[in-house]
Amino acid sequence: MVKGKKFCDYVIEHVNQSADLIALDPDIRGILSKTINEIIVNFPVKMDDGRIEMFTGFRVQHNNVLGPFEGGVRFHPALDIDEVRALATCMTWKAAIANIPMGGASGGIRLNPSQHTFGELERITRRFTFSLGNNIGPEYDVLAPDLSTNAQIMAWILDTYLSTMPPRQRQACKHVVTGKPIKSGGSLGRDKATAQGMVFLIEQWARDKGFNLKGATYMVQGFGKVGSWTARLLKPHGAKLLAVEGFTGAIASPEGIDPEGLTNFVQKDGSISRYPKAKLIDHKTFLQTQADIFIPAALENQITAGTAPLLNVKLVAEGANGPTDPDGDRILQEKGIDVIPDILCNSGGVIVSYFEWLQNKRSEFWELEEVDSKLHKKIVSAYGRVRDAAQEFHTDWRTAAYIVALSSIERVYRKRGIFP
Amino acid sequence: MTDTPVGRKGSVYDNVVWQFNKAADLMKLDLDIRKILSQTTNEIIVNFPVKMDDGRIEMFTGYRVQHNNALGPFKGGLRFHPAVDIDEVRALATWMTWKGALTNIPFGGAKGGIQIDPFKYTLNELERITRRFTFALGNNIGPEYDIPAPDVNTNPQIMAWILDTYVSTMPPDERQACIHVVTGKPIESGGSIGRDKATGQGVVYTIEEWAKDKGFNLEGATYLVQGFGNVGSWTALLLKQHGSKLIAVEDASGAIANLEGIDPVDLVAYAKKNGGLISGYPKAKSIDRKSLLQTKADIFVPAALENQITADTAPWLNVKLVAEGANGPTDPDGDRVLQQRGIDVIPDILCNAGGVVVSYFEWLQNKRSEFWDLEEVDSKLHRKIVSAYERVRDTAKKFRTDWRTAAYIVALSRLETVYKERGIFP
Repeated sequence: MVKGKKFCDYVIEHVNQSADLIALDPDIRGILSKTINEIIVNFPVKMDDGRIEMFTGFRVQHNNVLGPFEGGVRFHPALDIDEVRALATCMTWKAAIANIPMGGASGGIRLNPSQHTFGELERITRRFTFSLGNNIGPEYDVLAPDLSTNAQIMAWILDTYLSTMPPRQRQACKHVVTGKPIKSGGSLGRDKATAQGMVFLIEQWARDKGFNLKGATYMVQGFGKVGSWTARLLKPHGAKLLAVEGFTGAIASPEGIDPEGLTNFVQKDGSISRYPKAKLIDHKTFLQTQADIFIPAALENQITAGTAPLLNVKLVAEGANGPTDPDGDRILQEKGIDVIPDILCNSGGVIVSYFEWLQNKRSEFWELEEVDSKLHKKIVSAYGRVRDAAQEFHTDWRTAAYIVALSSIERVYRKRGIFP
Repeated sequence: MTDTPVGRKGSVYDNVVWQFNKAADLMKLDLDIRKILSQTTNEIIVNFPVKMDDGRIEMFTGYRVQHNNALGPFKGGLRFHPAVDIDEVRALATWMTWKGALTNIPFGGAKGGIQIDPFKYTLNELERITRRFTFALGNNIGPEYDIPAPDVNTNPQIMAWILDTYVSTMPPDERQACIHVVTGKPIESGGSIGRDKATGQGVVYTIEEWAKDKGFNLEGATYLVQGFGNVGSWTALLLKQHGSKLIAVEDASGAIANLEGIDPVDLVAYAKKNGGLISGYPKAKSIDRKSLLQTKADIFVPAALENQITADTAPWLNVKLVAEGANGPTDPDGDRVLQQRGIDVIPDILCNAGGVVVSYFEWLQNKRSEFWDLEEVDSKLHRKIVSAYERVRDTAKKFRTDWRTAAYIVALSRLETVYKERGIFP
């Protein structure tokens, strides 16, 4: 699916484009075009059969001028430093746009989780955490779930990290990781946070455009956590889900697919393609579906020179990281399709991670209403900043989002200067 | 320093892996431990901004690779060189693990550096670059965790800046107890007497042992030196006391020869005035690189960069002994040729281990708030090097193998024992 330029290449392209437009200070541009730290760890883990296997883990810390590094940990057999670098960089921009005091990082282990037992995964996770040592920490670099990692894995990271601390400091270190299980210090609303943020943004977009979400139609690519939650949260608005694509194929129903029904089905069946209340369609037909909103919530590089001309929608709301490549972007602009860019659109996750971090730090526990209303305020004001920057600079929303991020970081560097 | 493209080929790390596998096969190293030792533990890459004298900001890339710390804190040099890359640093870090294990000192292996041509920067810029690099490494170095030391293009002044920066980030009451975060410091800042000549001194102690074993008289023996930096020049100065005769020298500026003998003291004085280089030395004639390697002598001391003795150059050598002052001067092909030709080799991880041994002594003196005199340092170094030499010689006999493989076997057996005793966390 990935062809031509990689995600990491066009993250750099976006930065350069926006930096040119705002005439970003060349020194600050030099700093932001590199990651600060890249840590590679090779560690041995004893397998269930007594053999030792070696694993390679990564942690890339892009920038922490706004606050502690923060970013996901993914488990993937093809994980490489380029991908982690791009993800870490995007985290810096997300936090800057959302105006939260966090920097950008990302990491993971090169690993196929389905090839290991539960016990092995626990030992691998713990040994990785141990290897990172002081390179992570609640006020230094905060981890979160990402591809193939979940609340259970975050709990193991928490437990391992705390076990290496002096006993009297342990309780004050719970915010070394976010996305924890609720009982272990997680936040209410963290599971749906990315999707909730997207729905808040879609609501705001509809308000701006005088568009009625009731009866609006949409399609979702990827029915994992982000895709399925977005659909479930759009249901109360009376919007209609026309088509869904998963890794096993795509389905459609002109009468609308019930998100709750599909979520329940996927939980039992494992994939969407055998869902009885819709018909199977191919990838091309899926993309050509006439609808109001398209939500890519799967992989990178989905909207390209090849696929962008097929789209027949008013808005693309990017739940995934990097779903649109620069060619795809140009075509969407030519066709007059609005885009809520990834670094704004899916930032609900990092915002609620910040709330979880805050709750741990303050020894507080917020109600769901409090989390949701604070998320709403943060993400709508970020939306406003991006919209205003797009108007001011007469540019597309992605470039505008980068402008918001780069100029806020530029202001901080100007004041703080370079140590020593 | 010579960095001739003729000798350079392939990856230095591949050479290390080749040497490691050969020894591991012969000694039947435990498969799990083999897996662990064939990879580095941590690799840290830092990109950091530094303000130049003209106000501009320049970005630099620094590395620290930590190969293994089963025997003690990571330990290894920092080099400032435009060709520094992860492959080279990985190889050098791995060699440090073997050296620590071989000489029986409680240190693991690490190496690092900055990809930079230090001669392009002012002293003030170099200070800021060094300080910002130290700051960027943060808790990834420390007196009981990872201890840098001087290497190519770094010196006691740079170590003093690292020390000062590191302790400045510590709470005031811990600063004095952290002086051993770096070794190779200036004497006044906590350095050890004898650290400057330590690698050369170790080279000479191994040559003495070899001569004793072979019934060979060093008085009047002839030798060649490649590289006339810290290691090459100290080796020559110390061999002079034995009455040995230096007949040819090579460095980055070219090679010189005088069959009547070159006085090392005089050549050092000349180089000091000549920007550290030997070219134009009036009391010897200029020769080319090939002629240097072909010079008939008893001993050849390569003390420059990696991959100098290869399939191409090894057949030229006309010596009885190669004493490897440099790290990795001989590649696997070169090794085979030397063995076929019956030339003895004192392998790098034994021959140049004097540097890390006296680094360990400096670290110990700081840790104990002591200050040893030169006799104490030298006699302790002598004991360490001679006993490592004997272990390697005896192992070579026992396994009927070459000395490099024997040195690896000594190092790997010690690591294997420790891993078997301690097991794998968690």
